[in-house]
Amino acid sequence: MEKCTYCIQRIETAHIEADKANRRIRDGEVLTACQAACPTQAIRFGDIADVHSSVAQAKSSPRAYVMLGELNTRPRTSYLARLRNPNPALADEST
Amino acid sequence: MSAVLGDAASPALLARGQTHATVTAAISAISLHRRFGRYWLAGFAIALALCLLLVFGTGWLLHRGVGIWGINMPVAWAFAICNYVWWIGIGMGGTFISGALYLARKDWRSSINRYAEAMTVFAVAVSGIFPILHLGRPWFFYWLFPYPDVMNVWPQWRSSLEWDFFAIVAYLTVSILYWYVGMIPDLATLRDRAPTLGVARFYGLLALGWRGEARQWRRFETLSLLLAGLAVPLVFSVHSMVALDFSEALVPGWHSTVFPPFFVAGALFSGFAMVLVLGIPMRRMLGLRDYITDVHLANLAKVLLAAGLVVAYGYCTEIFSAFYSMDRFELAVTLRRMTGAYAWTFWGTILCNVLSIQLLWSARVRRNHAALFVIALLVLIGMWLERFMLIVTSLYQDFVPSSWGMYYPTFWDIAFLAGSLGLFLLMFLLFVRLLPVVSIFELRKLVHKGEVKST
Repeated sequence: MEKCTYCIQRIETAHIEADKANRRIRDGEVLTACQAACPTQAIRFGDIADVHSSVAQAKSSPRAYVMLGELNTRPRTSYLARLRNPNPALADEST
Repeated sequence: MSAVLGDAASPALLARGQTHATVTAAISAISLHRRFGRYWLAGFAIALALCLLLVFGTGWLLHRGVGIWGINMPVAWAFAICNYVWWIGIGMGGTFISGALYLARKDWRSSINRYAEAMTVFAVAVSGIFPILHLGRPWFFYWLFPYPDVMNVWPQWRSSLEWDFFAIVAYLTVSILYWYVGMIPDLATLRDRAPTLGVARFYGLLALGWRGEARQWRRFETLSLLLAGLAVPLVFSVHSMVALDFSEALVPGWHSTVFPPFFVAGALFSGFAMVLVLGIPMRRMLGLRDYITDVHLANLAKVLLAAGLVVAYGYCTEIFSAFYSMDRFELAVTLRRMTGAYAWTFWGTILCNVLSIQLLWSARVRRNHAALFVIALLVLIGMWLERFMLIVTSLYQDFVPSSWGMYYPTFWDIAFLAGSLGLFLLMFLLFVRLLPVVSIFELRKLVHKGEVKST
């Protein structure tokens, strides 16, 4: 078992290119392996310090949560809670 | 006034009729003339066999990796870390007896400090094995050292492993120095009394040309004072550091500010217990009753009781702060320690460390050597169980129920524990045979003080 590297080699490739052009890494420039392989595009990766990046936008959603974030370990991976309606009676009202 | 508090040389610290000559002759004869009988040989054989087990175990570990132990996620720390903390804790007691009582000018340390210091050196040496073997790749242990290498690898100073390394190295260095420097005048005595030239050369080399001049004695006293002053704070800092290995983690049951003082008390507790466990058979077998008297053992028992009460207070504080915090994880761990799968280690700890020592309130028990031996042995077992309880019960069920799991020791876990006991015993038996087990020159000082007092 190995810990996920967050595709450091892909980040570094983009990092070097960005450094050569003297700019930040653009949103979407780094595509992690899991992200590329995901058929439903459920995985997003990017710069959470850039508020306009798609990953920062998703992270600011009220559905976003992290695992054991209350321990102040500042986890890198956030999840989006699934939207479900456990009460079928309400489904009719919304339509 | 009790002998613990008294600062004058109490006659009970030394049997009546002892003179400079009898003291010197009796102690040096142990190293020079005594024939060690079958008990020593039997002990040596057992220790050697256990050491071999440790050597084979280490070879197997290097070949197969730490998986030969029962550790796996979530319980990645178990026997090896327990052994490490247990052994280094035992070492603290010896330094405290020789260093702190020296600084406080307590005469009753004179006849027990030498073997207590030897115990420290051996215990710390044994403890150092475990963090290294617990590394995934022990052969790279020197990466812990901040040396200027071409790869620019620099130690991770935020890692408790790095702190362990510096703690052990610093402590081992100072305790060896303290032990050895204190032995130099006695080694010179052995050199001067050696029956053959070979023996004289052996002790002569170790004595570093000590001639007993006033100038040398003055430097010796200054150095002893400085080393004692260095060693005593180390007792507290090193074991506080060991405690921080745990406190720095966020795991419930470890993440606690009370750990450093609590661990220091536990370390002194187990160290005093080991001094008793070694001292009671040693004085009997080597005929040291005139030098290690009932007063010494009773004083040690009192100190053991005092340290034990601080440890018991630590247990209470742990439980109290869990309830006071109302943190559901802290509460869960505290309750699980008392009722969960490893509850027997908690109750075993309480039985050995808190209940058994209450007998020491009685002066009759303090004078009964068999009882003292059994209580001290129970304390040693209890302190090992306490480390196991603290480590494993915090790890086996933490925040995420999906990653809960049990820990079971394997044959090799037990083999390494037994092997470490064997290695310690081996070194101690060699010490008893080769080096002066009681400080001769300090006993002479005690005789002198007694003479001055009686005239």
